[in-house]
Amino acid sequence: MTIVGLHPEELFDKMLDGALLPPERDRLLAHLDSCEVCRFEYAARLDFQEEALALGALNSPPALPLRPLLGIETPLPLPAPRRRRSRRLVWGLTAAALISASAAVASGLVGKAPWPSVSLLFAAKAAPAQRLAPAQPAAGRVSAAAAPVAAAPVVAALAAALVTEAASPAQAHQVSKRREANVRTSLNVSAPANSEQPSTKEATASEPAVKEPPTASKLFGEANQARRSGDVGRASGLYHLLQDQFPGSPEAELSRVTLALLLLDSGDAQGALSGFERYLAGSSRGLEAEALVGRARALGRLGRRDQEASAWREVQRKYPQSIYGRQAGERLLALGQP
Amino acid sequence: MSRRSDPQIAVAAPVAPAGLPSNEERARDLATRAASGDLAATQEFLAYVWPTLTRVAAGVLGARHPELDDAVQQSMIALVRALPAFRGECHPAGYASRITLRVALRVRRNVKRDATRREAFEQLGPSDDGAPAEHDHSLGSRRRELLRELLEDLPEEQAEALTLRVVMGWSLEEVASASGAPVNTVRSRVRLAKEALRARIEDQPALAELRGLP
Repeated sequence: MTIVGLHPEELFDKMLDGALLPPERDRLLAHLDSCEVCRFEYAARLDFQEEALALGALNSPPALPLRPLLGIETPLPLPAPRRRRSRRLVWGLTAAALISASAAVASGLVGKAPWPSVSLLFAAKAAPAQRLAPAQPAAGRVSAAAAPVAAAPVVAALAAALVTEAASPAQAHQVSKRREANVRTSLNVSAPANSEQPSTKEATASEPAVKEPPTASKLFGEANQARRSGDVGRASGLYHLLQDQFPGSPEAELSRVTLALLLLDSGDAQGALSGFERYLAGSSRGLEAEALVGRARALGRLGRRDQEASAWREVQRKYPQSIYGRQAGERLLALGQP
Repeated sequence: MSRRSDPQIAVAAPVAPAGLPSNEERARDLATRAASGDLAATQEFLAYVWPTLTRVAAGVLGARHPELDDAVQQSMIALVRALPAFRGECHPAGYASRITLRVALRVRRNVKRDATRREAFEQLGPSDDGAPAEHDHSLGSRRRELLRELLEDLPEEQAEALTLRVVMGWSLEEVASASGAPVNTVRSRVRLAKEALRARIEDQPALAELRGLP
C-alpha cells in the first residue's frame, strides 16, 4: 500500500493478535516503509510498552513482531521509577474516611448499607480488593501486584473516603435502582446479578467449541484473544485444537509458530522447541525465518550451546542479509563461535 | 550488555500488549453498585481499573513523573464521582481511561504552568517537589514526549483515540468499546490524529531520527 493517507489499522491489530499472515506482513512492511507516521506510531507503541514494563504495569515483556524486521532499537529498561508515595493524599483521605465513619457512628448510620464502617475500612485493608483477579488471573496481562503504588491500601482508603462522602442514602438508593435497571436491561439480565456466577454471555464465550461448530479463523481468533489476556493454558489448548481440527489451514500453520513463541515466553523452552521443529518439518515456509530463530532461542534457553550455535549458523546461512542474519552473527559472537 | 545485542531478547515474540481488561460484565455490575455507594464494590471496582488508569496516566505524564501517583489517585476520585453518570454504554475500564486521560492532561498542563512560573525563581535553587523528574533524552523518550505534547493540542476525542491506540496498544474494536463510539468513528479519529502527528513531524525536520527507522 502506497497511499500513506490510508493507514492499515486492521493490519496493526492483526499483528498484535499474532494473526498476520505472511502476505499481510509484507503489505504492512511496505506501508511502514512509505509512511513515516505509521513508522513513528509503531516505534512509539514500543516506547510506551517499554515504559509500562519498567513501571511494572505489565507482567510479561511486551513486544511487537516486526521490531527486528524494521531494525528498531530495543531501548534499555528504564531504571526503577523513583517512588514518591503521595502520603499527603492517602493520609488525608484515610483521615477523612475515619472522621466520616466516626461521624456516621455518632449519627447511628453505621450498619445501614451502603454506608461504610471503620471495621469495613480495615477489613478491606486486610483483604486486598482483588476479587476479580481469581476469575481473571491475568486480566489484560496487567498485574496490580507488580505496579508501583501499593494498590490495595490506597484503593481501600480512597473507596472508603469517596463512598462516605457520597450522596444521601435516599439519593444513593434512587441512583442504584435506576442504574441497576438500566444496566440489566442493556445486558438482558432479568434476575438480580449474582457475582459468583458467570453471565450467559460469559458462559457462551468460555465454551466456543461446544456451542457452535468452530471455524479455523474463529478458533485462531479465540486462541489469540486468550493469549492476549494472559491465559496461556486456554490459548495453548485452542491452538492445539486448531491444529488438530484444521491441520492444513493457514491459521493452523501460523499457529504452530505463535504457539511455540508463546511457550518460549512462558518458560516452556522444550515445548517451544518441539513446536518450531514441527513447523520446520512441514511444507509451509512463510515463517521459516521466525521458526529458525525461535528454535535457536529455545536451544539457548535449554543450555544446549552447541546446538544453539548450529541453529544460529543456519539462520545466518539462509538469511544473511536480514536482521536475523545480523542477530545470528551477534549471538554467535557472544557464544564465542563467530 | 544492551538488549539489542542479545538476540534472545531482540528477536521478539508476537506477544500483544495488554488489551482492555476482561470480565466486563462483572465490572459493569461493580460500577453500578459502586455508583450507589457500595464500599466493597467501590474497592473492587477501583482495584479492577487501577492498573489501566496507571498505564494511561503514565502514558500521558511519563513513568517517572513526580505527579504520577497523585494523578492516578485524582483519577480514581474523579472516576468514583463520575460513576453515577456512567450509563453502561462503553467498557467500564474505557470510561475510567477517558477520565484518567483528562485528569492526566490537566496535571501535565498544571505542571508545565508551574514550571514556567518557577523559571522566574531559578536563582532560589532547584526544588524536587512538583518538578519533572530527571530528563531522559533517549530516542524513545523523545518520541513519547512528542506524542504527549501532541495529545495536549488535539481535540479531546482524537487525543483519547490516539492514547488508547498508541499508549495502551488497544485495537480499533477495543478503542470503540472503550469510548462507546462506532469503529468507523474511531478509525476516523485515529486518522485525523495521525494527520496532526504528520504535520508535527514535518514541521520539525530535526525529528527525522524519531520516525522509527534508522
